[in-house]
Amino acid sequence: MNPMPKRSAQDLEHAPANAAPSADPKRLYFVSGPVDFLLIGVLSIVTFILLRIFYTGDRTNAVITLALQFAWVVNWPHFAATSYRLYHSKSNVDQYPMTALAVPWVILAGVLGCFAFPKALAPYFVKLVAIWSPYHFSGQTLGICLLYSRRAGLKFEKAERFALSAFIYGTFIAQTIRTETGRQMFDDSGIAYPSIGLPDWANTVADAWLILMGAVLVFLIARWCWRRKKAMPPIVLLPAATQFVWFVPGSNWQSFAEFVPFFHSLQYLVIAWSMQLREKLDLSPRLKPSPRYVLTESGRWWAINFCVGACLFFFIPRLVGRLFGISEEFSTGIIVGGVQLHHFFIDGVIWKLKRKTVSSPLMSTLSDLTGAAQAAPAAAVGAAA
Amino acid sequence: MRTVGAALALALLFAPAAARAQAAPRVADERVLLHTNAGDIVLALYPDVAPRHVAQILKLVRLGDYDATRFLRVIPGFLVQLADVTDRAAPLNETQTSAIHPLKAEFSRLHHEAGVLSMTRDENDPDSASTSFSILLGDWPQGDGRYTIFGRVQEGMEVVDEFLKVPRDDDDQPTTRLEVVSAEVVTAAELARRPLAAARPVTLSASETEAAERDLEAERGRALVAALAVMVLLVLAAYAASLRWPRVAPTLNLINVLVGVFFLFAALTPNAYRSRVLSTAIFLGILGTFKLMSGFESPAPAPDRKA
Repeated sequence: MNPMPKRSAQDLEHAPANAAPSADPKRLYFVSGPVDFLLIGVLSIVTFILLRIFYTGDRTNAVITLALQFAWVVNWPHFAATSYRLYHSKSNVDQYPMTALAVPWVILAGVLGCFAFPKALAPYFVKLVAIWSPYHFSGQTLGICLLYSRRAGLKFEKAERFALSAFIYGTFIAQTIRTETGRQMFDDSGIAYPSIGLPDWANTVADAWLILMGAVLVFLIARWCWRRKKAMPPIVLLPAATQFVWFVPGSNWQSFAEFVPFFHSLQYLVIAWSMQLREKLDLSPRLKPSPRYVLTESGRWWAINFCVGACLFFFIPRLVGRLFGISEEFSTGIIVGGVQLHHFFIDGVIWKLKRKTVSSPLMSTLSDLTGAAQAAPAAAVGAAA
Repeated sequence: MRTVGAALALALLFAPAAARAQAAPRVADERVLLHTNAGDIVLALYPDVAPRHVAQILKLVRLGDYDATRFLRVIPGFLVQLADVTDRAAPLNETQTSAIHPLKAEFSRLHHEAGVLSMTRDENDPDSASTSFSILLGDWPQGDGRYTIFGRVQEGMEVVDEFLKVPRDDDDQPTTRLEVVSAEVVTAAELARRPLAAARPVTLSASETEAAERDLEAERGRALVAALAVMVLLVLAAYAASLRWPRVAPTLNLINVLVGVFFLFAALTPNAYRSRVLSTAIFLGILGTFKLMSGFESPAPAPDRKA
C-alpha cells in the first residue's frame, strides 16, 4: 500500500521540479528524434513538397475528404483535449474560474447573438475566428520552440527571443494581410464575410518585416552557435520553420493549406498527450510508469477526446440546427467558431511555461513514462556486475 | 509512428496519381467559357464520349444561343440545371433557332458525380435532349447509362457554390436570376492566358438590394442595442465583483473590451475598405485585442495550507 495521499495540481506548484531543464541529449525529445521531428514539422514540410511537385494547388474533393477524415481523429480531439485538460479536475477549474466558468457563457451569448443577428453579427464572428486562429497557431509555435529550448537546456537571450517571436508572428501577419488586402469576399460554412480592405502597401511592409526578422533571427542563431561553439538543436527552430511553410509558401497552395489545421493539431496532441501521461502519473501514487500504463492511458485519453470532439463539431451543431430550424451548415459554422474561441481562451491561460506545474511535466520523455528510463541504469549495473 | 508517417506521405503521394488515372475521357481542345453573374465557369467537353452533343453545344455557343440563358433549378447536393435556350431573356434569331436539334442519346459508362455535365431530356424520350443541361453537385448513380454525359466543369465550381446561396422557392427555382450573361468557345491555350472572373455573390436586382439593405440596417440597429445592453451588464457585474472578488473584476473588464471590440469590428468592417486609415486601425485593433486576451486570467493562488 502506498501511504501517499492523492495530490492536486496545485501541490505540484510547490514541489521541486522533478525534471529540471537539462542538456542531456536523451531528454530532448518526447518520444525519439525521428518521431518528434516528424510530428512537430517534418511531416507537414514533406507533405507540402510532395503536393507542390505531384499535385494540383486546388482544394480538390479528394483533399477536402482526406482533411475531414483527419479532422475526426486529430483536429477535433485536439480541441477536446484542451477542454479535457481544464475541466477534468476541480483544482484546474478552481485555478482558472473565469476561463472555465465565465467564458463559456460569454461565447454562448455570442453564438446566440449570431443566431439572432445572422447578417449583422454572424459573418464577423466567423471572421474573428478566422483571424484569431492563425494568431493562436503562432502562439503554439513559439511555445513549442521555447519548450524544446528548455528541454535542450538552453536559454534564449532577450534579443533572440524577440527575433524568434517577431519572425513567427510575422508569418501570421504577412499571411493575414495578404488575405485582408483590397475588397474580397470569403465564405465559411455558407457564411459570407468581407475582407477588412487593407491598403496594398501593407503587404510590402509585412513582407519586408518578415524578411528582416528572418535575417535577424538567422544572424542571432549563428551568433549563439558561434559563441557557444556548438550547434543549436534543429528541433528548437523546426516549429518556426514549419510555420513559415504553413503561412507563406503553403498558404498559396490550397491543397496543402487544407491540412495545416491537421498539422497544428498533431503538434498539440503530442504535447498534450505527454502532459496528460506525466500529470496523471504524478497525481496518482498508485500508478507506476510502464508501457501498459502508457498504452491504456493514451487509449482512454484519446477515446474521450474523440467522443467529445465528435459531439462538439458534428453532433451538437446538427442537433442545434434541427432543434431551432437553422440550416445545419450555418449552425455548424457558428458553433464550431464558438468552440474554437473557447479553445483559444483556454490555451492562452493553461500552457504558460513559466509555471512549474506546466513546464515540469513537459520535461518528461516517453522512456520516463514507460519506466524504461529507470530500468536502463539498473540493467546497465547488472550487466557491469 | 514512423511507419504511420511514411504511410501518410505515400498516401498523399499516390492518391492523386490514382485519381488522375480514372480521368479517362479525352477532353476537346475547345472549352466553353460561361460568363455568369456569379463568375466564370469553364466547361471541358468529351468529344469521344458524346460527339453529337459536343458538336451541337459548341455550335450553339458560337452562335450565341446560350447568351442570356438562366439556371432554372438549384438543388444542393444534386444539381444546378441550365434552362433550355428557348427560355432565355432575349428571343433567338432565325439562325440560332435553326441550329437547335433534338439529339440522339449518347449514353456511356461514365458516372454521374460532382462536376459532371449531363444533358436534360424528357423522361419518356431518351433522344429528346437539345440544349438544357445540368451540372452535377454529387453522385447520382440513377442517372448512369440513362442520361448523356458530355463533359465536366473544369474550373468554377466555386461559382456554382455561389448559386447555392441564393434563396429558392418551393420548386427549387432561384428567386434571383442566375444568368449566363454570355458564353464563348475558347481553346485551352487561350484559356491559359485569360484571367477568369472569380466567384462572387450573385448580384441582386435593385428592389431586392434595397429590401436587403433595409433588413440589414434594422438588424444592425437591434444588434447594437443588444451589444450596449451586454456591455452595461458587464460593467455592473465588474463593479459588483470588485467589491467581493477583486481578482475577477479585471477579467470581466477584459471580456467587456472583447465584446466592445467585436461589435466595433462587426459595425466598421463592411465599409472599412473605403478608408485605408480605418481598415489599418481595425487590423491593428484586432491584433491588440488578441494580445490583450493572451493575459486573460492568471492562475488563482494556492489555498492557504494552514487553514
